[in-house]
Amino acid sequence: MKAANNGQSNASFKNKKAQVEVQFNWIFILIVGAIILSFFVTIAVRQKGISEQEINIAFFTNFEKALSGIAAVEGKMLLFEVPKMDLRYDCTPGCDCAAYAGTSRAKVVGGALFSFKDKIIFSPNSLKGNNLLTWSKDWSYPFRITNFLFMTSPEVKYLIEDTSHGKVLFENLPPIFIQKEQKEQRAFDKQLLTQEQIEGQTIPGITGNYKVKFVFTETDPVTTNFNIPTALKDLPNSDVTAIKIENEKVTFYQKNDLKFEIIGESYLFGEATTYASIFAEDLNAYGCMMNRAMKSFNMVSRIYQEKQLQYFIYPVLEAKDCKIHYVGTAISNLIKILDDFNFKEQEDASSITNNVLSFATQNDNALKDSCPHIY
Amino acid sequence: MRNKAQIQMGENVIILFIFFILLIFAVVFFTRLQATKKEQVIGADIEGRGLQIAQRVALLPELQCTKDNAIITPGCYDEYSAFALDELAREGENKVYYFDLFGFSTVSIYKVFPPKEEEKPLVIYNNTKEEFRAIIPTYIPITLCNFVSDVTKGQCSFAVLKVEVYG
Repeated sequence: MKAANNGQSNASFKNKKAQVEVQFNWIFILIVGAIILSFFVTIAVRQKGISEQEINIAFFTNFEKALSGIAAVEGKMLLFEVPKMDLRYDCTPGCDCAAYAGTSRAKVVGGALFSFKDKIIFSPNSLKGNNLLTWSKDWSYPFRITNFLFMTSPEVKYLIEDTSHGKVLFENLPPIFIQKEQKEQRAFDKQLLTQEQIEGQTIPGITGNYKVKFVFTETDPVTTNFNIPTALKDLPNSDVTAIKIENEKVTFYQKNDLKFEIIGESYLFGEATTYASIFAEDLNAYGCMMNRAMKSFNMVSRIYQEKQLQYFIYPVLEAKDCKIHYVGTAISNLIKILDDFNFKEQEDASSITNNVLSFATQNDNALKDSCPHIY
Repeated sequence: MRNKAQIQMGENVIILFIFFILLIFAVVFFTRLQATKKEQVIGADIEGRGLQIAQRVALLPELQCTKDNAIITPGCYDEYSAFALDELAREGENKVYYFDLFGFSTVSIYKVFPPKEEEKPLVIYNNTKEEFRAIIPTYIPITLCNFVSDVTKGQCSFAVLKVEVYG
């Protein structure tokens, strides 16, 4: 009886153990399944991030190629389609300028910042919409230095004061519509700002833009107490800006309530820099890019200095009484100033202008005396 | 019952083993595929960079033939500006500036016509890479003019601009 009982309890124990083993098998399947599932979920999430980054990199690589093509040719204007993304191009106070996709630098995935170091780009910090207008302009001062690249969105409004200088700027800026794929497409939003509109504070057609830039050529928006139209009240202060262009100086303003306040002043060196100040986001972006441009100016000046020196010691030119035109004082002075010139600091730019004029006169005189021109 | 559970457990382990082997195969295949793709992208990138640099050199404002700041003829290079660039691009600070534009490359001008014996090419930029996979050469026909010999038209020769990019 006892043995039979023992046998029964042994069988029931084995049965229970087997039941536990079957349950353990299911638990094992569940755990392994969960691990495998989480492994694939992790891979999928990472792959999503990587492919988003790859799309960004592919876009910016192609974008850079397109910009290189445009920047290489003077006066090239192109309206090209971009994916609907928060495209930004901005400069930090330390002049670390970069393009990226996203609302802020801090949120950029995987540090995908594109510095476009070899290009001199003037653009609003945010480029919204499906189209992007790019325009290259040659900067000569007095010789050809480089091509500036201007970028903007057709959704940014440029209001130019209706004066004789303002009209010239208005005419030379890109056209409002550009023929693209046999269709007229809005490329650039510009409008002349009449004196009545400035005084009356009512400016038609200024709604629906995410940024508005006023370009004054005679009116000082601070001393004349210019009132920003109430239609622009809701736009952030940094998105309603103004500049005042005077001879070789440009003043930058920003909205504060419904008035403009001065941000700072900078210099203009020739026609291209005037357009640069129109397209630049603010004084900081203008200063950063102009510092980059000044490096090119310095380097090209060094080439002309070397060329002038070679002409100066060339015996045939000495015999032709040309030597006087190749005395390198003006260009050497210019290089000395350019070596230390910082656009972001309020330095005296008149010495640059004076030496540039002297060098230009030297070149003109060489041409008049039938001597080889320097540039 | 116990045997059945043990068999089930054994089956699961074998399934998992096969699954992981297949997974390893898939990962190896995918990694190799990605590596090949990457190689192709790098190759295309070097070629693209080569063309970009060639375009930059060809349109360098400081080298163009100008008169009163206007370009006389497209594709025309001033010989004296090229000499000057040759002198300058070798110096430390200037080398850094031109490196941003031309990277690891060699840019030289070969005079083709009128032919001159033993004339060395004019190397306007030279920055070679110690280790490189390939050299992508690009040739651009240009006119090289000397305005000292002939002030108005310039004494011009036919030349080839060779841009070699190290990838």
